[in-house]
Amino acid sequence: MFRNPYVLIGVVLTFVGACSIPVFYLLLGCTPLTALGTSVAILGVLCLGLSRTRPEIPPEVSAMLLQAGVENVSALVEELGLTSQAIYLPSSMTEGPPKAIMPLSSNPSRPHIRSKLPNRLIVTYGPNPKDTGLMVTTPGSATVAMLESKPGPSATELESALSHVLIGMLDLANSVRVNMAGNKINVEVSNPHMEYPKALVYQYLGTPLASIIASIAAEALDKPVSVGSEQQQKSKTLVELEVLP
Amino acid sequence: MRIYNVYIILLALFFMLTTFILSLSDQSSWDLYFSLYLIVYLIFTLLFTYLNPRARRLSNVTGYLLFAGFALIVASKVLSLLGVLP
Repeated sequence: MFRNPYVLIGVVLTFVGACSIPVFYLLLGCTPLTALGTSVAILGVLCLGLSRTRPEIPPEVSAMLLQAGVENVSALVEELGLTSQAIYLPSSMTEGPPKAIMPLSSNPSRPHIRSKLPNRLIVTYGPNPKDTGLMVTTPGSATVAMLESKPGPSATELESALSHVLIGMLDLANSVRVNMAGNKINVEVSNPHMEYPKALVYQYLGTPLASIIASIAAEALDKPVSVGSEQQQKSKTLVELEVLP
Repeated sequence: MRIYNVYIILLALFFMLTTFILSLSDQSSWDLYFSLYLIVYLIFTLLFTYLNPRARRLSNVTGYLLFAGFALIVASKVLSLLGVLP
């Protein structure tokens, strides 16, 4: 019954608050303590309300599912010998949610994707036979669906969308800052609290945090985006994205 | 859910601070305490704009309940001014 800690806290606070109000008011006649009991009851009701918004799936199960997914994609990347950086596509360029494409050929120049790509695992994105890639769903693909509306292309709008998802929905960070300069987007995430096992695929796809940022940025700008670099500092993570033409 | 914890802890701290300051100034009107709790609650609910939509909806419901309590207090004051209530 009390697997969710907010339910336990809510029940205890509401009970203590509701019982203390008549005791302090009728027996002791002390207004400040009666008011304190009222505030405890308010906090209890609030905790009970917030407990209903917690996901049913335990975090351990989520971590297990993430690990299984990451290991499967890592095995696929390793087996195919992919070494190109993944390109995050907006939903307007895929049939369905935003996805990431990993080119099969290790061509140093970035591929130009012009048309909408079919919803398949192996897709052809250009006229040459080598223009083939692996299109995968990333953690960022699912988070774009959490946005109430499509974010605008300015730095402020992107920052607001990232804050909404990373702070409000996923509770992964304390604050997010976005700077745009030319075709580069610098995102600073302070106190990111996300731990993930090391995997080969993160070298090409970016970590789950970078993946979420890249997917939302691609959706906001309506352009393909790739993760340029990712730096872990003491209490923040810096993600540099490159906007592709 | 750290954002929920911060929200609840800040609310609890400010509720306690409000109670402490009002009790120091020797206020004995429960209505005043309740009205200030409502103001503190509304301020923090506005500040935490990044709460997820469901949590925001539920905290708004709590806000409506508190506002209904405040409306009852105002109504009782008006009725006592009109002489309907003692």
